[in-house]
Amino acid sequence: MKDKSFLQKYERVFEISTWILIVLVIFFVRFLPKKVIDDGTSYILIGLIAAMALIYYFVIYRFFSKTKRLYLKDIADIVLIGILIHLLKDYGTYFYALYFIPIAAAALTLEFINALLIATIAAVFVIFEIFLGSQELLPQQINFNQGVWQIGFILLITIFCRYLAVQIREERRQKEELVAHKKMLEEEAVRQRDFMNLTAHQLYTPLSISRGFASMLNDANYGTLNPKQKEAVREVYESTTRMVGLVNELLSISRLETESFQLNKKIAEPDQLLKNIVSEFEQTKNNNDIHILLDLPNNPRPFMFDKEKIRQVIYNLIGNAIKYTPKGNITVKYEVAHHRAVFTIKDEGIGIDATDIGNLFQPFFRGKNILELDNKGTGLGLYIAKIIIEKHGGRIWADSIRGQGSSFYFELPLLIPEHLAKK
Amino acid sequence: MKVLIVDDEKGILKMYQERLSMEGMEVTTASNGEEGINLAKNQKPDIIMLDIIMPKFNGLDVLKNLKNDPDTKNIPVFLLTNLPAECSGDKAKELGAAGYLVKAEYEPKMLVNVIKGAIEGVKQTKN
Repeated sequence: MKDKSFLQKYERVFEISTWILIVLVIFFVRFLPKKVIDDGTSYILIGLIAAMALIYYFVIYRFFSKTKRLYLKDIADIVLIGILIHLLKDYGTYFYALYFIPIAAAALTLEFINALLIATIAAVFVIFEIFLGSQELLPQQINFNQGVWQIGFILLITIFCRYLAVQIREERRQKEELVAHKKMLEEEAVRQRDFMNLTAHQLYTPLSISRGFASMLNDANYGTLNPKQKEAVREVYESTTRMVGLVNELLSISRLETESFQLNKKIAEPDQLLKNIVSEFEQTKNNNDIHILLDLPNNPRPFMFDKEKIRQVIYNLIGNAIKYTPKGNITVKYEVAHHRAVFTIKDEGIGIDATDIGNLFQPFFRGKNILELDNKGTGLGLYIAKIIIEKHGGRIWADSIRGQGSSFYFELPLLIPEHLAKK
Repeated sequence: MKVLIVDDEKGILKMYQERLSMEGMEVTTASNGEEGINLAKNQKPDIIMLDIIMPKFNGLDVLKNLKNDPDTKNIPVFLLTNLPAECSGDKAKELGAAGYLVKAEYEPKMLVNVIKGAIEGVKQTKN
């Protein structure tokens, strides 16, 4: 479709330029002093040529297919321009450049062989001119050297325009391919998302039934259970809860890892976010030996980040700190340094083995310290945190001393919209 | 208090029905979208819990239908589904759902609280 409109557009341009040329020639001949033209017959000749050209153009436009039409029209243009230039005698040379219009048009729009053919016709025409000139049959002399120059020009223009046309076509093809590729990726992403959503649905359904009934048994909705029964039900409940968490996290990862995933970055205040999360943890934590402390800068500046995703990261990190800290303080710190927002979650828990530090952010990695705790994690929390932070263009890392506690850090680029940065 | 639960999964219906009945709620169930619409129009429940993936009209179609009917449009409708919120949450809100609950996250006792809260909310707006 695009090819056609491209052809059409250029066809129009050359068509119009041909007609402008004819009108100009008539105007020129008609209003110039008599001596320019040999005699009155020139007027009739020009009139005849114009009429013939009109009929010719009409016929090719009416009866020929697009490519053939262009081909024939280019030949017609060359012949017509050639005749008119000669009728103009001494003034003809001023119009010589017009010759190149149909040649350029052919080279730009036709296949290579056809374009070459047009160029050849033009060259033959020039040779014919030289021949007629040498026989003194033309009012205006064209010597051999001039002729060679003209042919050289014709070939040069043909080659140049061909090259241009090929470049344009190639560029367009690449652009189209890029668009098609992008569309394919988008469709693939939609398919993948639908697949993941349905998979989650299929996994959640039996899990929610088991967990629901287990919780009802556990809550003694079906009568009081003896301790053994209660313990068994508790196990069922907890393992299904863990499965639900696992499905959630796999779903999260699959979303984050799709190529089309976009962060929803908005201007937000990290200190407010931290205050909210910490107060939520304060309300829900079961261990009164743990204290969560907040360390915020005096004048924190809002910046651009995906609030929900960063909330998920901080949630994971504080959740881990609580899990691995039987007793002590957990400090949540936020500071701005060197155009980076740096978050620290420091605990006084059991710590991590030095050999495990490097693997912490791998999926399903569980450190040796897990043996000391009755742990219900999925092994995906830190991996998800890493993906989210890296998507922000930041980094996440940890250090720890076994038996003294661990610190998790992540930093985000301090993206501040221009209108706020000036303040 | 009348609650209508529309879901094609028998286990889900049984679980929520039993738990809500324990709270003295009158629970009616439907196992597809069409039946859900009919029951909602005939019985005018106080609250409706609607699954999404179901035969004969999915939950979002049912929601649209109920919200377009002046008789049922004021009944709070919660989507109670296992499709992740990212998938249909926005659409549900746009169609006028009172909430979007993922079943895997809502144990029966939590659903009791949601229903009680919603009914309380309706009462308050009426007063």
